[in-house]
Amino acid sequence: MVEPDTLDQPIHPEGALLPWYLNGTLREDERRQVDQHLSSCAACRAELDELAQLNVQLHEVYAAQSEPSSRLQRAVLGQVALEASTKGAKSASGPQRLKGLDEWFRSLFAPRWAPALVVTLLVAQLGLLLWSMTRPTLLDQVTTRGLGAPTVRLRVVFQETASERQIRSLVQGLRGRIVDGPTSDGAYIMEFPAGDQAAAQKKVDVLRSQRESVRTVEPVTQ
Amino acid sequence: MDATHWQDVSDPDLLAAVAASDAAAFERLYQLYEKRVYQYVCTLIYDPTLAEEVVVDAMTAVWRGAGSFSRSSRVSTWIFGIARHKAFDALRRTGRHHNDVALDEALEMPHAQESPAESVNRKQVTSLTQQALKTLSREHQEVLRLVFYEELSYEEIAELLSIPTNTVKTRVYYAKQRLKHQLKQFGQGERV
Ligand SMILES: [Zn+2]
Repeated sequence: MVEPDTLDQPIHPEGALLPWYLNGTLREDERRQVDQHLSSCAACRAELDELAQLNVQLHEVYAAQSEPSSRLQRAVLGQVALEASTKGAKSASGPQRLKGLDEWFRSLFAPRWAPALVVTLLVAQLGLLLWSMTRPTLLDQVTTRGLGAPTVRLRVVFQETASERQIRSLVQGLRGRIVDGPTSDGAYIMEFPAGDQAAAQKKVDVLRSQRESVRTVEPVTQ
Repeated sequence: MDATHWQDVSDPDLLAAVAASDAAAFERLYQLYEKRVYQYVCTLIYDPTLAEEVVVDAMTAVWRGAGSFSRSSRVSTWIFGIARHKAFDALRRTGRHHNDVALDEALEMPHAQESPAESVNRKQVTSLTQQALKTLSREHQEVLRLVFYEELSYEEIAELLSIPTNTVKTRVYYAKQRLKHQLKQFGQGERV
């Protein structure tokens, strides 16, 4: 950007400080200097009036600005909760994402004896990984809901022994949401973002592999 | 411990707890900054969906990088710095450097608001200010927000934008002149 240098400049150096005189962040000596100048300069007083008026108008504009969707908070806090409860995840989350997906997938599910919660968290992390690799990050999650971007609907029955926490991290990790249920036979209809058939199949595979908390997974035919 | 426990804790102390991997402290910090960071990012990125992605990137970076915060700067400036960096990354990635959206919207600015200034109610003034603001460059919108809403000092803005303090002063001055000019164009000159 080029700042036009031929247009009117603040006539006095104190004039350039007025925005910060108004927001109260000037150093004490600067503030006194501006005070003193204002008492004898009508042009800068007029400038200050304009700034004060604009300040009010801008505040109203900013107050009326749109707020982020509730999905934003879920996305951030979900990810942080995941990292907080997975020991070492903070340092590992970067490089791990670059590993071969198949290799990583296998390494995750090989230890069948792993405690249920750990597996759930790992599965959830895998969900995040799949998610970022197929590039439907938050972008798609949002458009999915609004504009009919590709999603897959699955009919999921959870194990009776599955804890709420297990289910939540699984669903959050896969960036899914429950859209209906439970049905009379205890099934939930869940929606997951999936750009194509392969991505949808991955969601199904991840859910099915999670036997501790998921009993059955079936695509919903629409 | 949940986020309410951290209710009255100062920002730097919150960040210190976040650096020690306290998720509840992070949640509190997030609540304090979500809207501000999102709206700041929206002055740089006009696509709300992309802006949300940037906030996810930025706030998870805050979580992971809290330990690198030095108490010599304000927490807000530090967080905005990260958000700004992520926003420019996203703009580069998506090739959306230009101000086209704002300019397009400026062209669509209705000249229909021709009622006398005194009858223009507050809501309309806000809406006109909003329209006028959108015609400004990203840089101008950004500094106006940082001065008038975030109430940052010129030194803090200079640090955040990596530009000399004199440039900050000039930029804010021209941003204000430009906004005033646009408001005049839109028939709001009398009020400003
Ligand atoms: Zn003066």
